[in-house]
Amino acid sequence: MAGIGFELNKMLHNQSFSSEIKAYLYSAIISSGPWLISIICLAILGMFSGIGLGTIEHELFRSIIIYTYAFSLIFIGLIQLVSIRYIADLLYKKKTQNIFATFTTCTILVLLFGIFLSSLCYAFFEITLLQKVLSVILFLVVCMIWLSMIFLSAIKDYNSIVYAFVAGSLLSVIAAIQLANFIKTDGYLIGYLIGQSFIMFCLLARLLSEFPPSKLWDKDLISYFKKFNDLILIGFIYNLGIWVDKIVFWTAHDARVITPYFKVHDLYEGPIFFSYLTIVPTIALFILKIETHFYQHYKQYYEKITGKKNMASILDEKKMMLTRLKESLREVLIIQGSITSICIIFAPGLAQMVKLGPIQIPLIRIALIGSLLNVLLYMIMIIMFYFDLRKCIMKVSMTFLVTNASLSFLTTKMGFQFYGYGYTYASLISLVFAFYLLHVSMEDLEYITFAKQPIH
Amino acid sequence: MSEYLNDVCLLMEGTYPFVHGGVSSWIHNLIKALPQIRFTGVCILPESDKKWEIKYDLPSNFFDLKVIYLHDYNMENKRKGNQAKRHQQIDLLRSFHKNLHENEYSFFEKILPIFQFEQEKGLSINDMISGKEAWNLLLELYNPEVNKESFIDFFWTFRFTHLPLFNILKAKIPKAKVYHTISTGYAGLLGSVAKYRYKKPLLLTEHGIYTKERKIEISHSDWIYDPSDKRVKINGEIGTFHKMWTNLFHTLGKITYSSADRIVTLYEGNRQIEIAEGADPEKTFVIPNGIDINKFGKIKQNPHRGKEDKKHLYVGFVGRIVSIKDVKTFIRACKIVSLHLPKAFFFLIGPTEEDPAYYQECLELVELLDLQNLVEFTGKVDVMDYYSKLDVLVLTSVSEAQPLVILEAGCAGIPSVASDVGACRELLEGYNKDDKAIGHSGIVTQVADPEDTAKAIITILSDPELLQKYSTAAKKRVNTFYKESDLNQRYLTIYNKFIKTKH
Repeated sequence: MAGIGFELNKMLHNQSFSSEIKAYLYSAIISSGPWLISIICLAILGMFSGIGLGTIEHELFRSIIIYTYAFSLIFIGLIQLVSIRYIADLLYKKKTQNIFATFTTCTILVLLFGIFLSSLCYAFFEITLLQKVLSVILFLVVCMIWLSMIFLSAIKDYNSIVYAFVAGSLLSVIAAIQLANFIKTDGYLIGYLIGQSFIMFCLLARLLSEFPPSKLWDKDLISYFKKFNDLILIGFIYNLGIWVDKIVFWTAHDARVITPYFKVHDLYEGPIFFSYLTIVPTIALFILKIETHFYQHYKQYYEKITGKKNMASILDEKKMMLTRLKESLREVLIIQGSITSICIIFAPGLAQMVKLGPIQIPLIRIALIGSLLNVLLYMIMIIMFYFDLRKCIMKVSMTFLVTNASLSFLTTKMGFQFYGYGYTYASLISLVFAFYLLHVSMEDLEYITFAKQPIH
Repeated sequence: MSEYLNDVCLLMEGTYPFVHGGVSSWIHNLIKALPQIRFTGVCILPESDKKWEIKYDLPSNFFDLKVIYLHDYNMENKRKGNQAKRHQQIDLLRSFHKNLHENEYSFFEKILPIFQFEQEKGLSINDMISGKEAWNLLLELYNPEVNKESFIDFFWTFRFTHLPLFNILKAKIPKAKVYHTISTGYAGLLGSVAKYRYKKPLLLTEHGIYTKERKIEISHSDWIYDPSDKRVKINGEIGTFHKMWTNLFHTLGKITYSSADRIVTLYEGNRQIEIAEGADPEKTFVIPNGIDINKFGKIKQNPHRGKEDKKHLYVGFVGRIVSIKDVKTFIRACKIVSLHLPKAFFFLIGPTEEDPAYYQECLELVELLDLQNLVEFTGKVDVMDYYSKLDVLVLTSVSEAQPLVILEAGCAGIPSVASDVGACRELLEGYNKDDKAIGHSGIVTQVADPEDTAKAIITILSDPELLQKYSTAAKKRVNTFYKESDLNQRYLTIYNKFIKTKH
């Protein structure tokens, strides 16, 4: 008889609702964690400034550390999100035997490009050859730390990260101070490097115990770079956005050259780094809230979809999920708002505590507000990662990068009393924009979820 | 060169020239029989990952075969249309769906411009699959306020029922003066597109009832989600998503019926089903399948057929040994006949390899009924050799369209006993007044009823006069109404009439 005996079966074969969306929580932790840790580290070392070391030497050392953190984070940002996604997919498919190959592939990429880029840059710096070599090594070690953290946080092993950092940072500080007594800046640098290497080896050991060695090269990861090239860009833009105001200020007319091309902006840097510290509790709290309250409903929402429920109950679940989300954001706002307010009120005292001058107090205050807005922005981006709203994240990261760069540049021209406003307004503009995008996306969540489903 | 090179464009679904079968042979013979007509054709196949080979020696009056793959989705077109236009076009589709719900199918013509994907004015396939407007329409059709069915299954069913349609609606169709679709379904839809796009007449020939066949296939498929328990179906009702699929084929059928200018089917029974399915009675008529009179008329008749002095009475079953032919009913009938007519001998003529398990069961049944000495499975043989021997032909199928064996046997003067399925009654009793006047040429029996079958066989074999009467009627009927050459001429007449019509 006429007609096609087509295998209709085959067509529905692809109906499994693949969602790797959930993997993004872990990306959140590591994209915020590193730069906070770096600030804490500097703060600790800052407290010991002057011990066994002249001011210039200490400042050079400090600049090397800041440059290392800033550019290693921007550099790792290129591969960070893609590897997170890839690892999450491997874990989801229970293909853990390949993870070590992924790690070695990343390592090869990072070391190869890292050596090239950092050597090229430091070649122009007016420091001794030993210092150059040490700086390059430090850069690579710190990159490897970030890389190990990506892999370790994918398996939610935050404990080993924390222990390694506490021990390693302590070792850094002690070794730096001890060695500085003998060989000045180089000693300081070697000491610090020893501590950081300790962190790296701890994390590597932990990784090795979790994922047995396999192949060296992982071809599939490379195909992910092609498939998720937007994630490369997002990671880069996001991290660059965070550092761009500092970079802009280093180029300002009132920035100070320590030795070409290490620059420091005495007025700007301190208050900004200090304000970052105030948002640490909030990030911890938010991640906890997300894990407990929001994630449950988030999961139920997708379970309702895949569990063959009708649209009305899917929409009910979305309502619940969004209510929880709003509650979490509100709680965070109340707590962070209180912390920020207290800090604003006690800014003069705090400034004295962290060795900032009275002239910087208004800057501290505006930076505190900026950081409050920034942490909210950051949370909305985490939520966006949950829903795999990559286009939105891209738009928001881009907005933040552009506004933070341009407004910071503008304030460097406008004068001292405007310092910090660039960062704060950039955060505000990006926050409002992000909130708007999230709102629209939540309205259209079912559409976004279903329209994205591939045909095959 | 005239603008339309080809006279007739045949629209085929999973058949000629890639798949062997009754319909394909029919198409092949039709093309060969009308060398004065310049044919072209489109064959719709499932997907391109399988290698499809041409199985027929294409006649010299058949040109430019085109293939459409139903499930090859080309998503490269990421273009987004103008938003206002998009709104307007989705609105048009909305009205179309609303019209479908009200059983109005002529609206189809108006939505065709939307699917001109290549041109700027059409919606892109991207808009169709992942556009916001299309999503809103999907949601409206689901109706979240009242619908309690699984949304994800609705979504996938909706997507998979619609995706192949895009491939049909946007297909490039060869130009011809007449379009002739050999089924409803996707081929019928393609015919409707051709008719409205090129303003050319559309002829539909339905061998089986496509919608009915699809419905059976769908109700047996377990890949469609059914919210009620899958195993226990007490009331025989089908689930919502099965319904969406059957609705699709119903709709395709109705669109084809409403756009076709002539609807041809093989026999009156099918014509009635088409009318019940919504075909306009005025447009429908019957052109049965014919046989080559010269070939079968040449068979030498057994001069002793049915005579009492014969040593054996030969009863023949012609067909593949498969369950749809209900061979077991035949074997049981054999037992009853053998008890009444010891002279009877039974042939089962046809290939046995298609369903070995069923064949084995048949062999066991023969043994169980102790018929080993009276029954012979011939396997695949030239049936011509047996027609000269047989006294009566028996058909016990549970489903048939227009079985040619009855005509072939009839041409050789062999009366038939056939179950009451498909065109069997018309073939044995006549389908119109003139045909009925010829008289019966066999006996129609109940489906799956060995006793009734046996009774009919005994009636014919134990009454030589009746047998002779049936034999004469059978020959006359085939010669008058089922001559292949005459029937091909009728198609030629229709083609010529359409070709001359100014549209």
